[in-house]
Amino acid sequence: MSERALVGSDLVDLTDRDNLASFARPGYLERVCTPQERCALASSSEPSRRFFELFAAKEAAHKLLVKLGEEPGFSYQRIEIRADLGSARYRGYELALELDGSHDWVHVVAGVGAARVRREVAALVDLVGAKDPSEATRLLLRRLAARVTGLSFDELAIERRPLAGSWDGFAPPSLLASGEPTDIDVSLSHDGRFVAAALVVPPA
Amino acid sequence: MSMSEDEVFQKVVGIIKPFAKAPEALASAGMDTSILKDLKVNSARLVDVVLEIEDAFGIEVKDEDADKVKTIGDAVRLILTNAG
Repeated sequence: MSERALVGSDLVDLTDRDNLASFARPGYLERVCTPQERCALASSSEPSRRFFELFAAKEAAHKLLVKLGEEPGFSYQRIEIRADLGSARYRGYELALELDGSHDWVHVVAGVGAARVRREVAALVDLVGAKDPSEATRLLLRRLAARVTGLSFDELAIERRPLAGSWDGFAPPSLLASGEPTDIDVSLSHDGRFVAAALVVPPA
Repeated sequence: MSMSEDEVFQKVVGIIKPFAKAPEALASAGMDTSILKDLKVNSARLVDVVLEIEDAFGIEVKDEDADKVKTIGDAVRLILTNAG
């Protein structure tokens, strides 16, 4: 397992019509959740919120596992989330999870390595100047990274290098400072009306 | 009656259309079109697509098979194999 501090994250808009339609679709929960997770859902007072917390946790863990060189694939059931949402299990991995949320969204960060996770979630409409959600997440991450590192916003950039075999032909995003790679791992996510950025600051 | 590859292709495109964030790409879509990259179907909606394919074609798509589906052509071939 990598010793480098790495992070994966996922955001779910709890009010998004498509998300709610998926939650209501017959067979959707059975496809995503393990039998134990479905039991917890059945006894939850807020089953849709609980489901989207599980979903975001699985997605965050999935992104992190890809960084660790794993190929979790399509099946969400291969990644099992503990009942307290504190960690995700996949084969020999136990990935720490940190959940945050509001009335309208949930955001989960999965991490490995001793590091301090920083994150920010924002409404898409507040990211003035961004032409699409992808650009908005990059703006948010640069803003967060500038605050955390003390570097100026303009020095920071997000890069995705070409990577054969990945789902879209590119590696996960990485943070550059003055054009040079940094040791700060980052993760981006957007859904519906919201965007999110997360990063891990390596131990000094 | 078995369906032709083109019939399956058209039906798959129709299934994907409401879930695509880049529906304009469907106009020029072919067998090599990537469902995630080109059509921008996100992972949550990919589950919807798989469930709709199962319903529409009366087949079961195992996770192991879904792992291999990257393009519309991959989905078409998977359907033709399972429905065969």
